[in-house]
Amino acid sequence: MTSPGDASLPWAAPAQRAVTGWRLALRSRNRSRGGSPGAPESLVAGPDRGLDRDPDRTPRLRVTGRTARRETRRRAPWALWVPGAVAALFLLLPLVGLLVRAPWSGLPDLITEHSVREALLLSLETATAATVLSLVFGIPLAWLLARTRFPGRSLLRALVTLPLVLPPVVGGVALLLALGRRGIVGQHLDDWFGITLPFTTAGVVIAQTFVAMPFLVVSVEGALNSADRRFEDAAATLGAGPWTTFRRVTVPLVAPAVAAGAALCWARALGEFGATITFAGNFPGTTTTMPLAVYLALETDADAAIALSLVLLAVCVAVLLALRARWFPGARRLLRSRSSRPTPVTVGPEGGLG
Amino acid sequence: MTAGTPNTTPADPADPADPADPAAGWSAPAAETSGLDARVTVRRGQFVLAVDVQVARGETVAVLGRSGAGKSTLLRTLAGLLPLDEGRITLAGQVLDDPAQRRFVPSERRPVGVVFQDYLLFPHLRARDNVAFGVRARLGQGRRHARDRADSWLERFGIGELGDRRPGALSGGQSQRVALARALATEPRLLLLDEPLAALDSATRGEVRAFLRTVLPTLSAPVLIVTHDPTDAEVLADRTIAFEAGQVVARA
Repeated sequence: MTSPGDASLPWAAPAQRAVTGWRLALRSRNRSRGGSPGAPESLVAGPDRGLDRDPDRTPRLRVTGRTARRETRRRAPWALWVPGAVAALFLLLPLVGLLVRAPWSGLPDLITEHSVREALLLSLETATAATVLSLVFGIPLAWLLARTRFPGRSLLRALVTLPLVLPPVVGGVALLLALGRRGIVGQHLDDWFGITLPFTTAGVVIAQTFVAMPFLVVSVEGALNSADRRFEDAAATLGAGPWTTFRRVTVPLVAPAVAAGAALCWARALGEFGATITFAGNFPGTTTTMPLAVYLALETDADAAIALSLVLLAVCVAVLLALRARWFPGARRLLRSRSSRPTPVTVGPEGGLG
Repeated sequence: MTAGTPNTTPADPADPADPADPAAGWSAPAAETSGLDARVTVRRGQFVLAVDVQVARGETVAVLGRSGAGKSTLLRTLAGLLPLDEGRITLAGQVLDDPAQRRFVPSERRPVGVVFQDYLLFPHLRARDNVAFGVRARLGQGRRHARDRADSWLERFGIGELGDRRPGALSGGQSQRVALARALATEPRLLLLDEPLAALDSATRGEVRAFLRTVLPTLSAPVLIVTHDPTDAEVLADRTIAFEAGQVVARA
């Protein structure tokens, strides 16, 4: 039997990879299709040549340059493309399996079932709440790590990113020891305020935030480090104090990284399994999120598990595509050509999605 | 290094104080309380910038020097982006930086406007909102009023129709005008221009230079231009101060 910790990852990761995979496929198709116009283009440049005495206009040169680059790309060594293709297949295969084996005819009944709707709704709510918490607390943390100097900063940065590599179950156990009824903080929450976090919906959000916030922090901190800080100088010379500068200049400049980080964060929270089941348990209606429901269903009804997985996959893909259209580079390159639209901000690493 | 001779330039200095004492030359600049008086010492490893600069109200002074001469460092100290190690900066009678007295007015509270070399217009804001940014932040005006003010500044600089554009859709010359409008809209008591023509192509340079020549003399605030180009210094400024390796080597 797979450990819950292992199980939590595959739900989030293939969904993202699927998107990337599709995009890659689309891009390469465009490129190879662009190859054929490449030739006519240079033919067209032929008759133009007579008119083209103006030395400033050298379309011919640019076309040949592009063709040459395309040619060198085509000559990929087999030692790279064979393992590369194997890797791509390996990542796509499980998704194909999911689609092939899906009980398509019974699907409408399976996914409209009350328990499924309940789990899906709970998952969407908690993942969104975890993302909001991550934004509210994660962006300031990223700013502190990127913009201030204080003792122990590198240690803090390492600790902050620890949940990225920590097995989620361990995270769940740690949360229990900190925020559980007998936990170092949790016992006081219980005594003084009557607040109990474990095995509640709030506990689900806490577990998801713990696991997902580092994605946002890392993404935003990277963008802050590579953003042009002279814009902040300019804001200061215009009379903006640190808080105004942060709100009206810094955050808008790194907005693409914030969006990418939030999308990663949300996807990670949506797929969270290990920390959730450890810290919040598995109570239908209050803590049974989609991944937990999938896992439960797999023991009793494989078709239901597949159906749930498909729903989760569809939700992830839909959200990532929707975000991509607005924020991610392919779309922004399109916007750049239109003068009335926002100009793209040069920000360095924009997370893995971009 | 040639320091230029501004009195022979077509930009006739309207300041009567300048030709008044030709014998004293540079040693008796007009350091009234209303202008800028800066004695600047900044150490950065091996490099030491140690210069005196005075600019009177209504006067335009060019700081001329090659890259690495310390021009930009001077500009950063005046703008409040870099604290002095020694010396004292006063503007219109107000002490802005005096390490001996542990006094330092941060950038956002200095009445100093800066036009940066590559303008640094905020890419996410339209031209109008770039100009309104300072009006809101520095003068504490409401959004609507700040936008009206911004529009009138853009209008004044002949680019009133560009208020809705984002900086990415502006030409170099247009960006320069928006940047100048943005700096002046905060009603600064000192205007700093960092290489105002360096980022422009040769065709636009002439146009922007002519534009600056008409605008700068109308300002009541002292203006300091940092440039590496003697021609720009001659055409735009009343006086020129030449820097080399962190020292003043000539005043004219």
